[in-house]
Formats: sequence, structure tokens, C-alpha cells
Amino acid sequence: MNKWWLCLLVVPALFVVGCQRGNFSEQAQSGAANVFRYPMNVKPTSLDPHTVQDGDTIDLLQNVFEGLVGWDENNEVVGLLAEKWEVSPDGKVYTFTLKDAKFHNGKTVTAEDVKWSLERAASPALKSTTTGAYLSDIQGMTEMLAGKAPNLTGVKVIDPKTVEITLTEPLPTFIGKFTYLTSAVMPKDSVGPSEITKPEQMIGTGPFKVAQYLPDQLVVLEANKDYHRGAPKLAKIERPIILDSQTRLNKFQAGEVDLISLPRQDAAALAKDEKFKNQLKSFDRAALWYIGMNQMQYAPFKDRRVRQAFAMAIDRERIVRDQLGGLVPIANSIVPKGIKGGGRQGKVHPYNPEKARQLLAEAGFANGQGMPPLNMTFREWPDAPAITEAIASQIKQNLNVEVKIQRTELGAYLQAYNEGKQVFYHMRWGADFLDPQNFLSHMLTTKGPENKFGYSNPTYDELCARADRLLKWEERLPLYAQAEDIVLQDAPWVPLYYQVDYELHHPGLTGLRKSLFGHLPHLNTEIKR
Amino acid sequence: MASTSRSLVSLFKSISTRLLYGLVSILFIAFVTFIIDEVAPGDAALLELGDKATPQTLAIMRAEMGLDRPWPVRFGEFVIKATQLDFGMSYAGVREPVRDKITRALPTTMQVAFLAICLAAIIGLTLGTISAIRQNKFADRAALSLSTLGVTIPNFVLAPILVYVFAVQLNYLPTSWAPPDRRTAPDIFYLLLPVLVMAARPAATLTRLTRASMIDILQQEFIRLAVAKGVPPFRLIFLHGLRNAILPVVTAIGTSFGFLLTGSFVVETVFVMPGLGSLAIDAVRQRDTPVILATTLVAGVVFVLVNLAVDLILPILDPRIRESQV
Repeated sequence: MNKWWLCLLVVPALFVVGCQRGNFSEQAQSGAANVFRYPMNVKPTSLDPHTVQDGDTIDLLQNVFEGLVGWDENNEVVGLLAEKWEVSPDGKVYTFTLKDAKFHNGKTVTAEDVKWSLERAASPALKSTTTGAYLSDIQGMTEMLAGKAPNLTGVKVIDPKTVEITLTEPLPTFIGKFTYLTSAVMPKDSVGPSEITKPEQMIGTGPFKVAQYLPDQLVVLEANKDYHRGAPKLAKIERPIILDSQTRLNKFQAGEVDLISLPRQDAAALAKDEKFKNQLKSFDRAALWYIGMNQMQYAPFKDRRVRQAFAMAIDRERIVRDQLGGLVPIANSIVPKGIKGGGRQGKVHPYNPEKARQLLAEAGFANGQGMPPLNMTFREWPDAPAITEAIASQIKQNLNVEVKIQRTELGAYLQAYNEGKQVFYHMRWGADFLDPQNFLSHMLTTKGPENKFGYSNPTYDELCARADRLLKWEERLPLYAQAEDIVLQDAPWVPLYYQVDYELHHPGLTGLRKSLFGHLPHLNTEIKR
Repeated sequence: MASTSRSLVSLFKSISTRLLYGLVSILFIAFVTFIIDEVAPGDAALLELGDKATPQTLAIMRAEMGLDRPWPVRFGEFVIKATQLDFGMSYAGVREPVRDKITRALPTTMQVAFLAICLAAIIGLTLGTISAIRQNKFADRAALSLSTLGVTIPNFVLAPILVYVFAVQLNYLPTSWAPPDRRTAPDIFYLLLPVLVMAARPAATLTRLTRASMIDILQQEFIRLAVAKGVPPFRLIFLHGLRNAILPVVTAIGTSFGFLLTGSFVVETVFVMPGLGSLAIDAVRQRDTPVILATTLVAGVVFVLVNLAVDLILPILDPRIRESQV
């Protein structure tokens, strides 16, 4: 007789056995005391501080390398390897006094090392893109990068503990840019001018050293007990490379990692989960998400009234509430909050469909008639498609203008943006350094390097130019505020929201320091299990 | 004697011809891939710099990557260096020789793919044979249903479900693969789920193929003759049945193995295995042309070699093919 039905007994048997939880993760390394495990979301893009430029890899390298100055939790510039610094009355000469500090190989840090490091960062052979972007205010930097000078005339060694840096112009933004890792100090002659590719070459002054590097898989840092600000509280930091966000979440829930970053939708879901909502943390970022209107590609945008009509037709509060779950702050200015002078209540256009239609009619496009076809694009990002669709439908509903969404691949989008070919787009600008100049002058003045959309207002340019050169915050901020109100009224951009990032933290994690850019080096971080 | 050396010579000739044709087609595929990458908007420099790309920084980065040279120069240089197994330097991430990336990734994928195809072959041949023998009975229906599931459930659904059930909820298994020196449990714990997920589809297709092939063979005259002669069932199934039915299955095993090696991306993402699949997809995302071309070459070579191996094994199994080749 065919006893096939016996097979069916397997199923209930599995249930009886299966519902018992195993103990794999307890047996496995569930985390040693004072070893902080958190994944990297991307593969490290560089092991060389003089060429690194993305936030995730900087989060790794800033624990190993340091420059003279850095950010602190109040988003102020503080000394790292520099004990203090003085600025000459004309604002062009900075004199840095070095701390007593040692490299990871035991050698003492001297002014010679500082000058050598800056010159290495500037060497044409290294082909760093960040040196030019952040340090070009230093005298002689542009010449050295172009290969026209063998060394940096603007950097002088006064004595072993004193470095003098002369700028080409007295720009107040220099010290913020000088925090970038491209100014990291390495021992003189420790590496050549080609990019660092091996962990043995990574000799810095930071609170951690590289203990292990498995390419594509794992980076392990161990504490530098002789660190000049005191030994870090952690013994090790383990950074497995996990590219998939669901896998990171699984590992966090299984207790295999202690901190993960979350996309906003996952944060929204977990905010309601009893078990995890207390472990969810949010972090402000110095980045603005906005809608751009390119008057060089779409003639109606040349008319201020059309732009204002569009600005008034977008219900920003509804977008933040519906598409973003109310989890991000609405932007009523260009400069994000956290930056000095940022996050203010600027003269944005309020949501007013009636007035919007009126303005559009005044401009000659009553009821949307006569407007050429309009395509809308967006920078790839989890929430971007939903937001773009919401805006397109609001424009259609309030102004009767057809907006077609065009989904483009990231490479194609960036290329079009760089060539000034984006027309009506949802985009982001993240601060290079924490100063209104990086948003207001850099992006929106007529000659601003990032002004690829044809906006030009001489009054605005003049206010920004003055504010860029004054040395005191109390003189600069009122001018920037005035300028910001002008540009908000002219509406080449419609500001939507400031970026907020989310993370899940192990309950025993304490002492984590952060700035608007992300984590700060893990001096005080501790993990108690 | 003479016929042996003649057949060896002709074997050698046929292998060389096949390899030559294989090489030419791989070169052609590499060229098409290169042209597509060339024509598509954007490039590695733009993607690495992202929002922060400016004409100046783009020029510097492109010079550093060697992207500022005309495309015939770049492709020609790649081909010439490839003959010496030097695939150049990767554009994206830490600048390292592409060859290092491949030699790191290949064993990872190879191990899991090989285990998966063995498992799939065992399951496929066993279930397929049982199905064929017990055609239309319960065992056959059960095997067919299982194989339908195996074909229809996509691996990007199966993998997360298995991880969630067995690793996150039940905690029997680790949540992902780990490199050999970071394992705290026997290897099988780390390999079980990835191998299962990768084996699911080939097991299903091999089951159906074996079943169909066996049914076809078992209906033939010589089987009835053997039964009449009183050949015992086991000998009948294995020596007479399976040995003949296995021919199309061997070919399918070869092709499946090729696909497993190159299509493992989803499994590698979910289980955090830095293998060939994720290397290839990441390279496409980052427009890392040397890595794209190198993985294309590797995939092409794998397919050529696997097909060659299949073609060498078949005559051993089936004398009729052997005869027709001489």
C-alpha cells in the first residue's frame, strides 16, 4: 500500500520543532564589550584623506586622520592638531600653533609635516579633486595644482610648532573649508604622491588606527591609546560593508550590529514599533531639497511672475505632511538650520492658488494656455518620485499646466544638470562647509559656479559680495538675510525641506558626537552590553 | 593505435576551434559592451563626484582615470593588456588593479554556485526520476508542484523570506554570509541559505527536464526488452534509463552553472557576499568600465569553458556521439 500520506506528518512535526527559537546569535560573537560595530553603507571610495570626498568614507577616515581644525557638536570650528590660531587684522594671515601630538608611528607632529601634507595634497600627480575645491584660498595653491609651482608659497614653517598660512584674499570662509580632510596631516615623506591604496600607508594622528582592511568586506579600527585628546573609550570599531538596507536592518534586529542608518520610510514604520521606537534617532543635515526652475531652458521661467505663480501653487506643508510623513522640517529659507543664519523664517511665497492663477494670467498664460510642454525631473532619492508627482499634480490642479514627469538615470541626470540642461527639477544641495556663502553666493549669484539656471539679480549679487568679504558674523548675517529674502521672492528656487537622516542605536550606545555633517570622530563613544 | 591518435588529433582540433570561436565571440561581446557604456550619458567621474561635479573637478578626475583619451585607444589598450591578464585599474572606489577585484570575488561566487549546482543536480535527477517512474501518481504531482514553485518564486522574494524566518525569527542561522576567517560556526551554517536560494530554480528546471527525458526513454523499445529479459529494477533505471536520459540534463547543468555564476547578484546582495555578481552590477552602476569589461570577459570565458566541458563529457556518456565525432 502506498503510504504517501505519511509525508504529510512532516509538516506538523516541523511546526512543533520549528517554533523553538535557536540561539545562533548568542553563540556567535554577539559583541564584545567596547567593540562598536556599525556597517558602512558603501564600499570605501578611498583610503586617502587627500582625495576622499563622500560623507560615508569620511566618517571612516576622520577617525584615523586629522587636520589642524575640525567641527564640534555646536557646528563651530575648533582646533584638532592646532592648539590655537590667530588671524592678522587684514584677515589674510593665519598663524597656527600646534599641539603636542604624535603620529600612529610614534613620530612627533611638526610644522614640517603640516607643510609637506598640504603640498602632497596639492601635487598634480595626486589629482585630488577636493584640494582645489576647499583649499584654493591658500596663496600658491592654484599654481601648484596646475603644476606651475613646485611648492606652496602660502604655507610657511615658522618653527617646529608654528605654521603660517597666507590667503589670496581675506575670506572668512577659509577656516570652515580648512576642516575638510584634504588638509589632513601625515608624516613627512611617509607616502608618495599617488593615492593611498594599502592600510599600512595610513599613518595619521587620529583616535583610531586601521587594524584590518578586507576590501569589499570589512574595516576594523583599533584605539590609539596615545591620542592627544586622551585615549578613546572604545577598544575597537568594526565596520562591515553592507550595501543593502534591508540586510542592515535584519542584522540590527538580530543584534549583530549596534547602529544603522535608515531610509526615511523605514524610520516612519519603525516609529510606530514598540520595540524600536526608543532606539530611533534623527539627525539634521546641512542640505536643502528644493525645486529649481531653469530660465535658460524654458522661456516662461524668465518671467518672475511665472516663477512666483509656480511657487504659490505648490503646497509645501502638505507635501511634508503627506509624502514625508511630517518627519522633516519644512524649509522657509535657503540656508538650512544649524548653519549660522540658517533656518530662518524667510519671505517665502505662501501657498495661494488664487494669487498664483492671477500672476500666471498677468504674465500672459491665463489658465495655463500658451505654456510650452513642461517636463519635470528629479535627483534619484527614495522620496523624490512621490514628491515630484505630488508637485506635478498640484501644478496641474492649481494652474492647469501639464507637467510630465521624466524619470532619468542618475548619470544622465547629473550630466544634464552639469550642462545646464535641466528644466524643472527636484534637486538637493548639501553644504560643503557651514557658511551661508556656500548656499547663497555659490549657487545663486550671477557668477556663482553652481548657477546653471540663469538667475541674475544685481542687488542680490551686491549684497552677497559684501557679506562674503566681511569678517564678523554680526556684520555678515544681516546682509545674507536681506539677500535671502530677495531670492525667495524672485523664486528661481522653491525651497521644500531640510534633509534629516535617521539611525537606529543600540540602547547601550552613549557618547556619540555629531555635527550637521554626520558623526564626529568617536572620542567619547561607548557601548555597554 | 592509429585510430586513437587520429581521434586525439581531431579532438585537439575541435577543442582549439571551439576555443577560437569562443574567444572571437567574447571579444565581440566586450566591444559591444564597451560601446554601449561609451554612448550612455554620464561616466565614472560624474557618478563619483555626484552633486559636487564641476567642470574643473570632472577634468581632474577624468585625467586620473584615463577617461580623457579617445575610445579606440582605451578599448585597444584594454584588449592588449587583457591578453596578459592585466585588466587595468578600477575607476571607482579605492584604485586597485581590476584583477585583484576579480580574484577576490570569483572564489566566493564559485564556491556557492558550485555547491548550488551540485545540490540542484542531485535534487533534479532524483525527483525527476521518481516522477518519471511514478508518473501521474502522488509523488509525481508533488514533485511537479515543488518544481513549479521553484521556477515561479523569484529569488529576491525567496532569499529575504528565508533569512527572516530562519535567521531573524528562529535564529538557527546567521543573517548573512561571512568571510572564512570571520566565521564563528561551521561553514555549512553560512552556506546553507545562499546555496538553497541559488539552487531553487535550477533544481526545478532540472527536475522537469529529467522527468521528461526519462519518460521519453522509458517508453522506448529497448526498455521493454530489458524488462522482458528480467533486468532488476535498479539496474534498469540507472544503467539503461538514466544513463540515456541524462544527456540533455548534462547540457542543462552546464548552462545553469554558467547562469549561476553570472546571475548571483540578488543572492549576493541579500547575504552580503562580495562575489562576481555584485562586482558586475556595482561596476555598471558606477560606470567602472574596466571592471564591466573584465566581468564580461570572465563570464564569457566561463560559458565557453563550461560548454566545452559539457561537449567533452557527452561522448563519454554516449558512445553514439563518440562514434559520430570520429
